[in-house]
Amino acid sequence: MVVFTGCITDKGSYKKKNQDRAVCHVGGDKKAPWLVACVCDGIGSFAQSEIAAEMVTNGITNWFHGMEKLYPKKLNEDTLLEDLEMTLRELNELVCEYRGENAIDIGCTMSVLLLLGRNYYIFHAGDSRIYLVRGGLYQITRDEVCMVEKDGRMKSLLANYIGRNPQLWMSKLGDAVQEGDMLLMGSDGLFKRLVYKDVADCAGGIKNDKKAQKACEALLQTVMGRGETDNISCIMIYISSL
Amino acid sequence: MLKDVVIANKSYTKFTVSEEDELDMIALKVMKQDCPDFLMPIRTMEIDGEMEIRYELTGGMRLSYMSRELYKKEFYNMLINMLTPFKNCNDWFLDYHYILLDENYILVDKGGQSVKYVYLPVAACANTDERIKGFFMDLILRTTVLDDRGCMVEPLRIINSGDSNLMVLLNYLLKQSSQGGGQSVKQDSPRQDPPRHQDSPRRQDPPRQDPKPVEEDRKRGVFPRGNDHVAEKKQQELGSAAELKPEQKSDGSRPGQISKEFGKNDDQKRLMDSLFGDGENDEEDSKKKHKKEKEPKKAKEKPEKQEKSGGGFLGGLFKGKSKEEPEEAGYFQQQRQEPVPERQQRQQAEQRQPQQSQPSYYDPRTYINNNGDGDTMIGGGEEVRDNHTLRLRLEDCDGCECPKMIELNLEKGFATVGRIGKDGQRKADFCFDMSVSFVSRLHFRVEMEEDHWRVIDLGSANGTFVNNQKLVQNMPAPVRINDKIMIYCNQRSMVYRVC
Repeated sequence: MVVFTGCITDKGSYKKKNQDRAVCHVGGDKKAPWLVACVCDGIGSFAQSEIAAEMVTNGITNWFHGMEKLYPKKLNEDTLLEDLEMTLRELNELVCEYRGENAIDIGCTMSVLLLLGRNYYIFHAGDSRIYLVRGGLYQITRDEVCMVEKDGRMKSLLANYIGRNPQLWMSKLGDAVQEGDMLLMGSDGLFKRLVYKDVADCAGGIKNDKKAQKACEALLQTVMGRGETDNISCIMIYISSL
Repeated sequence: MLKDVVIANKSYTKFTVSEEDELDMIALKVMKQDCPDFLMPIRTMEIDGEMEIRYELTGGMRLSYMSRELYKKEFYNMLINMLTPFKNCNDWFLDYHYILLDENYILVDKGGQSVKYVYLPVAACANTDERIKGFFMDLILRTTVLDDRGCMVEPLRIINSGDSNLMVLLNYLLKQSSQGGGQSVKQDSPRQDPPRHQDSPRRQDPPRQDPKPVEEDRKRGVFPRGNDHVAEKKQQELGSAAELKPEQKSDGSRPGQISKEFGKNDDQKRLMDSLFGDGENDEEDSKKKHKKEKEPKKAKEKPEKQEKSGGGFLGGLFKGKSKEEPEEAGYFQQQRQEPVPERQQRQQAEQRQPQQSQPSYYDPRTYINNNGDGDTMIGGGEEVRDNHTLRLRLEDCDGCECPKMIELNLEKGFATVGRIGKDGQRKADFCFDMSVSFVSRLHFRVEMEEDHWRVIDLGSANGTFVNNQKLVQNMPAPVRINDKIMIYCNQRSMVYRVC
């Protein structure tokens, strides 16, 4: 199995700081790589939400380094998945504890993707998105938002996020990938102004990690060029061969 | 008085109400039907005409098992969380004097964000104000603040100060907390305490206390037990209600004062008291105290009542002493200045009540030893040779990498075992690697005994097993040489043998 990945996050052209965080780690050997990727979007209405986003992404990084030693020698797919879920729940607890201890509002969305062989698993909370690119742009995750009326206008509010409640509600999804599939992860800043053609244009020439990284940068520039004001994060996972 | 009961893998703490005990039926009703979240929910049983109140010690860790080494922020949060229930008691028509002040029966949740107390609705179990003060002073003195030891001085000074009350302390702590008083956050935290965001949509900040109001509180001895000014307005509106107040005072059946009619279902009075306060505003209070000095004989007649008077979080303990006394006179000085007969009477009154230092209820630390029935005596085997160090030898581990030998130093009396958090922080004395996610950050605690050790599960997610029996949270289980301690979750496990 050959996988190429790219990962980028940017504050965008208007915002003063980047509250998004994105990480993508590839482990295992060349024949059987496995990867974990995570996109977190700090809640804009909480001034310090990048703390939450960073806590989650750092936690995922720490988890990955710990699991690198154990998988697949000592752990199987189920136990690795179980461990990841426990880790995510703990990270949510840590964010909640931080909120309580420091009397500060922080929170972030979270989309985590674990690719083990052909199978991918997703843990999701909030309105960041994961798309499957397979002859079209298919949204795998569901935006966890609710619509409310304010001053005669409909407004979407985030219904679920990390740090909201010590007991985390997560959407858990899973399926298998095919050769030539692409998994595209990003914050809402990326997908507001992105169309399938943009992705299809850059997906064709990905032959290594560098090209995947450049494709991510190209998508970011495209979105910024269309006037996106939010922070933008993008992770691209291209399944070159199985 | 209190007795821990372990049956199979469940436990509860029971309190048996004897026939002589005067039971507060209102409090009992409140706790059964609408138990506030800062009290442990109860169930009542009647066995052979005796009532048994059962408390479930779940949803947190006993305060006695909590680490005494805290960072400044944690220290402030702990005190705030512990003091707030005393303030909130009145909202449920309960009296803070009946909160059991024993570290074994105070539950702190995992994140240290909430505290649950046992409420004993029996007249004989009431705490005196001085004992409550003493409890908090003791708590502060036994805590080590790692990053700023000086921060303990002001809370102690406030408690010691005769003219201040615990509301002043609570206000001070809230103020410090909101101002980022604990800016020296844990070093491993992502960053230091940032300024709070004004546009934050979710957080509803508690009304900030400026220095002036705190000082005013100190002068007035106020605890917002149904805001006095609001109460006054209501009294004006309801003339008849105002007329009730002198009667209440004479009966003393308000929360915070044990009346002759304690335990009787005088709902109306209790309701009025809780709604409008005890009618002791500051002027009245000072007059009363002035009067008290003029008539020392009268005062001596009812020392116990004097001590508990003040009721609610407003007065009593939280009201301080009379203005005539010098401000420097602290907690201990106050005791010294008392006239001897009154002091003797007070001591007698104290003796009648259960002492904090010599609890009459069953201490869970000694429970299993003394009452080792089949349900709880899990351990067995050889006698311990040197119990200052507990050695655990790895027998089996699956799905993880564990150290082959663990040595727990028990010279301080106990040691905790857990795992490094995903944020890199250590909560326990011995920490497993971060990758062993099925071990909680604070998993179990080992205590030293004369001829054996005791293991206590600290509310871990996956539980602790001793000789294949799952431990009940917060309940100590004896462990001896050759016993097995196991932690497992589905396909992953670790088994250690005591050696």
